[in-house]
Amino acid sequence: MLAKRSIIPKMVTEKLQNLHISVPSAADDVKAVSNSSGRPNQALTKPISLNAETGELMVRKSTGKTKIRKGQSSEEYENERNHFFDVEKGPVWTPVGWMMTANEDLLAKDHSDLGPDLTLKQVRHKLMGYCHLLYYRKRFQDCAQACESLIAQFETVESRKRVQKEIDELKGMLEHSRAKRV
Amino acid sequence: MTNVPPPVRALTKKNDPLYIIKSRKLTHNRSVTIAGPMVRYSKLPFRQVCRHYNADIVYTPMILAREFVRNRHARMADFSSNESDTPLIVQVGVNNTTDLLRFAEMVAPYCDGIGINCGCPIKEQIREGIGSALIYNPDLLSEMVSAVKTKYGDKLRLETKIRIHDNWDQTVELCHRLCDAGVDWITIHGRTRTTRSSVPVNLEAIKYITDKIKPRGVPVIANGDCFTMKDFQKIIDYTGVDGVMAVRGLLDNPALFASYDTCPWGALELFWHYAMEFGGLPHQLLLHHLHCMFESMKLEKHLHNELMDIKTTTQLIDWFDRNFVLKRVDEVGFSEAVEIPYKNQSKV
Repeated sequence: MLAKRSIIPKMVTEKLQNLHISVPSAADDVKAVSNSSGRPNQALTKPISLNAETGELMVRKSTGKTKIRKGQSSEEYENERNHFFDVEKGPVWTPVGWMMTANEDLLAKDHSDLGPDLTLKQVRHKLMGYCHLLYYRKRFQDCAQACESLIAQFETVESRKRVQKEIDELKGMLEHSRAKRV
Repeated sequence: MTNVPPPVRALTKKNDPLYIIKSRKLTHNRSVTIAGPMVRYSKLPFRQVCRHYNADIVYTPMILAREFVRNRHARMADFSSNESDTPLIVQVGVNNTTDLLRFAEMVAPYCDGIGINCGCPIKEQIREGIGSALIYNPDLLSEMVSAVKTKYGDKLRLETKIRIHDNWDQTVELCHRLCDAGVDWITIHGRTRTTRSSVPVNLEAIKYITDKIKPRGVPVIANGDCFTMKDFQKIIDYTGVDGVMAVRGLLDNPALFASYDTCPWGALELFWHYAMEFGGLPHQLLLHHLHCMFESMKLEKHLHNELMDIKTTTQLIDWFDRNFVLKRVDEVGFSEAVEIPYKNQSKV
């Protein structure tokens, strides 16, 4: 407990001393005790706001220990917001047909220098999704070409173990596409 | 760099969820149909299938505000959309006003409303004060609703999806406070936070609460145990709510609101089409959707067992083409079949 307290900044601990920690449990709700459907430990916690401007909170775990959820400064938020609107251009936008244009461009490029970051799972899955689409559409020749290109790229990814399963699926898809493209 | 975020998406008669809830009886001669949020499953391809079969308003899965406003990878994984994904409610898991306001600012240009999840019974969320913990924290919940409505007014719709308390008057009191705070509509799941889904939904409780808050003029949507349009009508007639949200029922049969009692084959073809066109669905998730739809369609058992053993999406496509007539979008009759078109039907 002492060790836990020592990692909380002094200012926060002072605030905490003045706080009343309310941890209602199912036992507060008389009927809930008999209506817990046999599930143990139904304790509820009310988070305690430590800094309303940053959203820093303290929550209490079922063990009774407290946990601080770090806040986000206005500057940090603005960076994220700007990145979301200016770089990400909002949420992932996927109208029908998007995958053909987006991925044909990606695959057409030489990725040895400046390509997508294949260490990211989302990026690899997006590219594999393109192969799945071609396979689903029975465009087996195009699918085989895309698979060949991706296998070569995935094999250069560091910590190849993580991507081995994906390479194996691509190899399987390549084999089936070759067999079917007649 | 962005100093002023993009404007909130304009609400019209076509995409304003509140207008749709209030006008469906006049325009469609029925109450509003809503496809609710399902953790992991209400992704874009499934949302589009639900829309195809008469879901008026569709929800995203719960997105944690804390992660969304801080982490770009979480954003990429949690939220994808497109022009036809409307009317859309983005459901949020949140435990403080700051995160909620920031979340609202980021998603408002791409959706038609935000729903605060006050019903999730998962203990990891409850311990953070998220989900159904919020119905026991009315001060915080009202403060969050009020903060969003004060900032956005009628430009952004805000809903709360709550569970009932053991003491229904506590729920009535909570609903009054939400109305005071400016909530646009309330969805009531007719179970307490500890009631298992195998226990029938408590329509009596929903009726009681709806009756008590009717004078406030805030629409109420019922949720729980809507598996067919007969259930839909029964819930409307019994409780007097303004509409029904289906969740588990749609997972098995996304064509529920189009009066199909079991999932039609066409829904499955559409789901394949959207899943492939939009991408982004991991194999296990794709498999689970198909498993649920096949459960509704009563697929031959040995084929169902084979399905559950398939390890990759490529194998899944091959398995479908080997066993069924799976039409693609450019084929005549795509998405129109009702029965399973077996290629080699078993005699068993």
